[in-house]
Amino acid sequence: MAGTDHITQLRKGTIDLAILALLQTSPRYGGEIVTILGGFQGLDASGGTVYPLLTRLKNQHLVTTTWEESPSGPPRKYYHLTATGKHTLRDLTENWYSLSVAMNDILKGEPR
Amino acid sequence: MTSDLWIAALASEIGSLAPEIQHLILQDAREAMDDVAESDILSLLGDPISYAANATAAFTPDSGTDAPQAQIGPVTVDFRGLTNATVRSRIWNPANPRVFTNKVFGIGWDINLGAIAVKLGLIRPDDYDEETVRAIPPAVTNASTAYPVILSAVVIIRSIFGVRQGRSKSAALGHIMLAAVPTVWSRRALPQTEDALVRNAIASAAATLAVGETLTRNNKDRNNVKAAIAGITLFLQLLLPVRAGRAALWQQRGHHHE
Repeated sequence: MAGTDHITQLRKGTIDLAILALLQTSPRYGGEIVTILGGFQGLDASGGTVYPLLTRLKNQHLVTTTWEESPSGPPRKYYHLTATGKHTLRDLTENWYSLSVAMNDILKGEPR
Repeated sequence: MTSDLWIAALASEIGSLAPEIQHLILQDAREAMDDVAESDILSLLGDPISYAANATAAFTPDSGTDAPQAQIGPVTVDFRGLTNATVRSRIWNPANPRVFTNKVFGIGWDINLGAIAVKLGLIRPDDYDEETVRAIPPAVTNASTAYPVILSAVVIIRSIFGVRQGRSKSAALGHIMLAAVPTVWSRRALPQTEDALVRNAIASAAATLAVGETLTRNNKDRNNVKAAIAGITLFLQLLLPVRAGRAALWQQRGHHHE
């Protein structure tokens, strides 16, 4: 159980960054984000994880939504990056790269 | 900053956490301080406010209020449903695909009607949020909140007539309480909030059940039918306003673009 908890903690911040990064190229709807992230096994991002995060990102004003016609069924909510979202994405991306270099070094047992 | 001041500042920052968690955080901080010279406290442990924020994040489980109050094997126990809006929202959480959810009040499991509505294709998981709730047209909100009030009135009238015709007073009082108490309670939520919607749906289901009870002579008559109708009421009182809110948002968007 403790192991699962730690993995959840580790993934937590990562999925936020993954969602923001996906929206960088174009606005997307919730189901689309879930499908794309679901394709990355290591992320283990299901709808149950992604939808609450989308709501949180929206409440933090990092993303905004618009309603667009859907080819199937009722209109869909599309998520766009806001200016703050773009800024946060840039910051998080930089941090991610330095963090991953540091972690790789630590995990390989390479002291500085 | 002296260590006593630092600890006092930390203690006041985490004052709203559970006492046992406060105790753990303070104990950790004191142990960390044993290795640090008084002059190095700020540079090594940081300021107490950021320390408190990090410690709070570390000690608060990710699932937060979705975690049950207690658990007996796989069976969840929770008695916060009457006082905690987040616990109540388990019965209508379209973003969560799990149909069986932790108990809202009592022992066992509850059903997440939001997940069912999504599975039936009636709404999308992200259709329901504050924005949608605020967009529900006033006419829909008025009709939806009038429902438990009108049914409570019916229950009161029927119960009074029932007692006059010689039916049990305690049963009549029970029916009135079943309808009126949740209805009054439902009005205590802030209007146009997700919790107002959930409370009103619960009150509507209770009032429907109470009307059913006044309509059947023997209380055990057709219990399944009464429960099913109350369940459908609960579902519709959640689903229909959300769909109306979504439709209103879609229309507003149309006006913006034209």
